[in-house]
Order: sequence, then C-alpha cells, then structure tokens
Amino acid sequence: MRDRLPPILAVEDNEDDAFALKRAFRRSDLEIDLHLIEDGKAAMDYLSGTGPFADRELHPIPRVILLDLKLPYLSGLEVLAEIRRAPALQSLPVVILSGSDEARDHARANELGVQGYLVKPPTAENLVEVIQPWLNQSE
Amino acid sequence: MAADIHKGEVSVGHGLGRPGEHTALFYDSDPQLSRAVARFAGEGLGAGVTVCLIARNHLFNSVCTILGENGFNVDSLLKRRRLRYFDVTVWKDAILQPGIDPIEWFVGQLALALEGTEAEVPRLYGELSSSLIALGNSDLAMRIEEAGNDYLVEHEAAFLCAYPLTMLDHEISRDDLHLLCQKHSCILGAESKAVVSDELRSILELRQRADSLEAEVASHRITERNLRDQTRALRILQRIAADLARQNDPEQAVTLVIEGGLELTGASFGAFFHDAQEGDRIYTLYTLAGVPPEAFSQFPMPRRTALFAPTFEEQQVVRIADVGEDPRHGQNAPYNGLPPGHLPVRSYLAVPVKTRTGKVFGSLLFGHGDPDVFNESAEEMAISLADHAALALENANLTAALQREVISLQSAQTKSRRLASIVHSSEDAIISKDLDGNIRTWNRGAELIFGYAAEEIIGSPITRLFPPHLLPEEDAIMARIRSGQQVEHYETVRMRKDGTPVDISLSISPVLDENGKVVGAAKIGRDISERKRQEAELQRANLELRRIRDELELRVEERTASLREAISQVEEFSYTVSHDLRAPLRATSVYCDVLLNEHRTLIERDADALRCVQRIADSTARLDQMIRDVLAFGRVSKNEISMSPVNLDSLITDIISHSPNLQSPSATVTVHPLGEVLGHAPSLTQVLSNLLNNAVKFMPEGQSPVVAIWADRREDRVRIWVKDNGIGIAPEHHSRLFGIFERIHPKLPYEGSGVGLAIVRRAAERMGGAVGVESDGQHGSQFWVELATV
Repeated sequence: MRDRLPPILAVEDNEDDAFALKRAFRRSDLEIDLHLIEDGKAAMDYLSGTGPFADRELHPIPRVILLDLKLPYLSGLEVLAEIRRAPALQSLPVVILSGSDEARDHARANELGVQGYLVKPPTAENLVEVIQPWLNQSE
Repeated sequence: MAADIHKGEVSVGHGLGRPGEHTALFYDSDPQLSRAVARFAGEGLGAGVTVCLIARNHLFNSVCTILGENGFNVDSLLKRRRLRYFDVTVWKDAILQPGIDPIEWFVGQLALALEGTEAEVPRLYGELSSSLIALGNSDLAMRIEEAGNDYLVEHEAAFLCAYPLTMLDHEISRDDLHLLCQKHSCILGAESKAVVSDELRSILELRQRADSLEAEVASHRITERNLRDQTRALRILQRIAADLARQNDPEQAVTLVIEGGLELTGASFGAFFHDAQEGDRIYTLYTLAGVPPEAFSQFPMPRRTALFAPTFEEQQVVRIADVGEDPRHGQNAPYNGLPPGHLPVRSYLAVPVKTRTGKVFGSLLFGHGDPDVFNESAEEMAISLADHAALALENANLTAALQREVISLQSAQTKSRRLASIVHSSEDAIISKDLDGNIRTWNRGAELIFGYAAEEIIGSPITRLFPPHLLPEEDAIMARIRSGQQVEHYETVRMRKDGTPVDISLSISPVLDENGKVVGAAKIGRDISERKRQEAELQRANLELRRIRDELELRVEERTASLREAISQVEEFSYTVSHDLRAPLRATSVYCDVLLNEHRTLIERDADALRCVQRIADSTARLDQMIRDVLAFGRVSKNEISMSPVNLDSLITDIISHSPNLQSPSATVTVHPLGEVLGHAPSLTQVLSNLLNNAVKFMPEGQSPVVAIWADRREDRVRIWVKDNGIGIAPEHHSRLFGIFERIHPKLPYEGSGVGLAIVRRAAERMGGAVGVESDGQHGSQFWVELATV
C-alpha cells in the first residue's frame, strides 16, 4: 500500500542539503516516500516518464514536488515553467526549497505559480506544514 | 407813408411820441388838426404801438381817411385793437353826470382805454379837456390833465392834447392858459394864417426859447460827457496800443485786447474768436475775459448763425442794443437763442480784427446783460481797438516767425558743425566719391584704417583699395548707387596701403544734388578685422567646446555602463552570497546539529569536543546572521520606496507578535498610542524591529528588559521613541553608533553583526527622516526616529 502511494519528488543537487532534507523528512514522520533527483533535466524526464523513468509503476507522478532553484542543466524555475506548460502536470503541487530568501526569487516563483516556498535548511515542522495538506486530499 | 403825413402844415415831429411826453397842440382848423393827429397815429402804428383816439366823431373819420390813404388797413387795426377810438362827447357827458367823481371816473376810463399796452409806449390823442374848457369848465380840464400826468409817471406812454386857437379869445383866462401850458411838457403851435393872440405867441416864444436853451444845455452836457468819455477811452486805447506794441506773444496780446475792450466799451465780458489750422482741419479757438472760462466751456462754438455770420464771414461790425429784440436772434435750431445756461446777453457788439491790407485774424465779441450798453462811441472804440489788435497780432506773428527762422538757422549751423566734427573724429572711415569712382573726401578714420593720408589718396579711384579679385564688386555697388539705392552693412575685404587685407563692413548711400540727382556716393567703412578675428576664435572655441562635450558625454556613457555593470555584478554577488556562500554554512550548521543531537552521548565524553562543536555552531549562526544583515542593508539602499500613510500601532503589534523575545515573559514592552506617519511600511518594519530587538538585547546580567514606545508630535514631524533599561551607550560612542559593522560592545557576549543600526539609519533617511539616541551610558538608552506626519 505504502509503496504504491505516489512519492514526494525532491530535486536537489547539493549533497549536504540533500542530507539535511532527508534528516528533516525522517524526523517529520510523514507517511510517504521521498524520491531524490539531482538535476533539472532528470526531473523533467521523471515527470514526463521518459528514459530511465519510463515505468510509471516504479516512477509514478509524485504527490508533491520539492524544487531547488539552483540546479544543473535546467534551473528550478525552468523546471517549474515546463511543469506549468504541461497539461498532464497542471495540478501538480510545487514547493520551492531554496537557500535564497531574496524577494526576486519569491516573486519569480509566485509568477509561475507555486504552492509553497521553504528557505533552507528545512525543519521537520516546515515540511509537515507544506506537504501535509496535499496528502490528505483524496486522489 | 409817414413821409406823406410829414407834409402837413403842423410841425409835430419834434418830441412827439417819446415816452412820457405830454404835448399840447394849438390848432386853428379841423383839417389841419386831422393831419397832425393822423401823423401822430400813423407813426405810432408804423412803429407797432397801440394808438388810442378820444376824439369827436368827424375828426376820427377824417383821421381814418388819411390813414387809409397812406396804406393803413384801418378796419383790421380797429379789429385787432391796435387802433382804439372813444367818442369824446360820450366821455364828456359821462364825466359831468352828477354823483360821479369825475377824476376817479377818468382814471378808470384811461386805464381801460390803454389796457394791454403795458409792454409798449402807446400813443393817446385826447380832446376831452378842450371840450370841457369849451363848456367853461377849465377847472375840471386842469384836473384831468393833472391825472394824465399822474398816469405818465406810472406808465410809459405818449399823450397829445389839442386845443383850438379860438379858445384863447374868450373861453379861457390868461392865468388858466398859463396853468394849462404848465400841465404839458411840450407846447406846439400850428403855423397858421389865423390870428394867434399876442398872449399865446409870447408864451409860445418864451416857451420855445426855454426849450431850446434847455436842449442846448443838455446837448452841451452830452458833448462834454462824450468828450470826457472819449478822452478817457483814447487814453485807454493809447495805453493798450503801447502795451500791445511791447507784446510778442499773440496769446498775451489777445488777452490785453479783450481786457482793454471791456474797459473801453463797458462790456461785462468779451471774447476773441479766431480760426486755427491743424492739417486740413480748421478749428475755431477763443480767448475769454470778464468771465471765468467755465462759464462758456460747456457751450458749443458759436456757429455761422444769422447773428454771428456777418462778423465771422463778411467782417462786418454788428452792434445790437438788445439781442432779445433783434430779428436776427433766435432763428437757429437747436437753441433758437441762447443755449440754456448761457450768460445773459442783451447788448452785443462784434467787430472783425483785420489789417488794413485785409488779412483777417478773427473777431472781437463783447456782451452785456443789460440792453443799450454799447453806443456809437463804444463801437468806434472797439473798431480802433480791433485795428490795434490786428497790428499787434501781425507784429507778434512776424516776430515769432523771425525767431523761428533764427532758431532754425542756428540749429542748422550747430548741426552742420556737429556733423563735421563727427565725420572728422569718427573711427569709421567716411569717404565720398564721385560717379566716376574717384575719391573726393577722406576722413581721419579712413587714414587710420587704410593707412593713406587724405592728400595722397583724394582724386584716386576707389578701386585702389580693392584686392584684385574683388574688383567686380565696384560695378555692382555703383549700379545700385546710380539707381538711388543704398548698400547697408556689406561685409567685404579691402587692402591697406601696405598691401595687407582688412575686413570691413560698408554702408554706402547715394549723394544727391539740390535737384535730387545722384552725383556721388558716401561710404562708411568700419574695420571689422577684430570682430572677424573674434568670430573665428569664437567658432574655434565652440568647436573645441563641442569636442570636449562629446568626449565627456562618451566618458559619462562609458562610466554609466561600467557602473551599471558594477551594480549588476554587486547584485549578482549578493545573490551568489545568499545562495552559494550560505550553502556551506547551512551544511556546517546541520552537521553541528546532528553531532549535538544524534551523537551527543558520544561527544559528551570529551568536554572539549562538545565545547568545540558548540562554538562551531554559534559561529556559523553568527556568520549566517551577518550575511543576512548585509543583504538586508543592500536591499534598503537599493530598492525603490514609495511613501504612504502607515499605521504605527498595528505595525508595532505585528512586529511584537512575530518576535517571542519581545513578549512576556522575556520582556515587558509598553506601547503608547503612536498614530500614523508618512513612510514605507517594509522599511518602517525594519527600523522599528531593529530598534526593539536592540532594546531587549543589551541587558545587564540578571535583569529583565523593560521597553517603552511612544510618539512626540511637533508641527509636521513625529518622533518615535524607544526607551530601554539596558546597559546604555556612553555619549562618546553616539556618533559612530549608526555606522555599518560598528559594534560598541565587542567584548560583551551580545549577538549582532553591527549592521542593524546602519540599516535603521539608512531606512529612516530613505523615508526622509532621521534617527538619534540619548543615553548617559548607565541608565539605558532612548533611541528615536523622526518622520513626517501624514
């Protein structure tokens, strides 16, 4: 049952930040899988089900996506823009997880449409706050 | 008509009909009497006065016949009561009726007979007393005559009484005859073949001698008076003439003449009217004397009316005894007489002022409110005065013309001398040449500019001054001059004696002879070399200026571009800082947290190790705070801010609710009502949260922070105070307190980057406000920020 639930997809290239995220996620006791992807391009492949992610059984559309802004190949904002363009991903909740608290980053993310914005490092409480609402929704 | 009556044998012309005259006429036959009465009546009717006859019927009939023969319409005269007839027989019978007061009756009848003649001098002929004497009632006749005289005292009238010479023979006593004669002012005897009694003849002779003597005396008196008047007038005239001879000012002369005229003629006012020409229009002007000018100023000029025209147009003398009675007066609209408000004029005398040669200067008019003021002598005086006036005016005009001539000659001379000296001393070259192009005059300016002396160049062709390539200019210039045109400010080049070129500005005008024919040209040449040089220099300077300006603009552009690049680099840097530089700090912090939590039991074994990890965690946190503060400071400086009213009370409440360290039990913060200010809400939040956090941060060991916030309003400013009970700041540190990275208490264990107050100051200043602090360094601090009210 738990395996089949669509996971949380986190796009994060920094090892330390990934460590901090996983630690906080573990402490949050959210009953959902956290799937980590290291760059923007891979994130798009996952979401569109191409390449290594063709199997939707193994790689279902995530419940929520946690998106860093500074990513190799495709930046977080570029990934966000593509998500908002794809009809199949229209309703995918996106939460930005960034080291920047700069107003311009907030503004650009809001322009494209995000459901949350967390400044690193994330805490267990923060994660529950932004993710929990989407888990309670029925499919 | 009156002339025919004059043929009568009775000489009644003398004195008959004059006002107040009461004449007794002795006659010897009725036809003779009829003619005398007809003449008396005819003259009166001819003069337009009423004539009243108290006579016998047959006498009346003969008088009417004579009048009719002389052209009078007797019926009409009787109908209009110009001629009135009363039968003397009826009167005689009535007056003798018993019970009647005869004099009272007579006076009443007389008044009725002459009724309505008060405004004239009526004539009355009566033979009532004669018929009473015939009845032997001389006494009553005397009383009747006496009553007649009484009437004449009161009224203007002329009476004629007739007595038959036969009466003298037996009907009247000698004494009564004398008495009767005394009742009359004039006794006339008819020249007749009939026998006139010696008595009457002697009376008549005596009477006539007395009359003529009296008349002679009176005439002597008149002559004497006239002579006296004339002597006086002549003296006045002489004096005026002498005054006039000395007078050169025509206006003054006119005033003298009018004033003299008043004195000479006895007029109450006088005026001199004359025409003045200005361009094509002719105005009538006048000078007044005897009345203030205001008395006439409101009236129009006298027009060419029947009254004025003879004087103004035909230069005739007009003398009128009473304007009101004169037929020429009052014929012209709109006034038909004097304009309302005009001074009363009855006596009028007007004489033209003209020279013997006939030159007319104007007219002298004199007037008086009473009639009959101007007699013949006054007229003569006015005429001679006008002669003198004409002479004086002519003299004055001649003198004035002479003076103008002299002045114009003098000014022409002065002008000519001045022009010559201007030409001589001018720095410009002033040269004249004839139509062949040869130089005729050469001034000092020309010598200085071209280097030739006058004597070496006069007579040479003007082209000697031309550089060879400009020789064709001369033909063009001369063509213009020959056609009478000018050349103005023509800039060209000429050559000096030494062959060097000189820039000049030329103005050339044709010179005309007295017939207007072009005979040469006058040139004014100004040396403009210096101006040309300056112009060239100015142009060079302008070019240089433009080059420098362009260069500067380029440099500014480059600077701006590099500045923009620098700014964007700084922005990029701060972005990088916030993203990348802080990433390792975050990691450090996370790993410290892992050690302190998940591996605590392990590191607690070594107290040193635990302390080290804790210090790493602290330092990391502080470095992160510093970085965040620096970014915040950058944002304060960089961002555009817009001002609007901000409610401070809700803003403070918001800050406190987000900051646990400002809430109980950590601190006691008392907020007094603050109201609104004009500011930028995000900046204000930074300012006040920094001040509040500082207020609770620097506390002495073991004390709990107590903070108060309140606002002072003065005029258009609000000062917000934040008072704490912290350690305070010594006054010597106040000045550098608000600088970036300034920490007043570096040794003390207080967190802080040294950026907070710099942000406060920068934010306040960007909102047009100011910040400050009051503290003695021992008893807490009082920070303030001052902003504009809404």
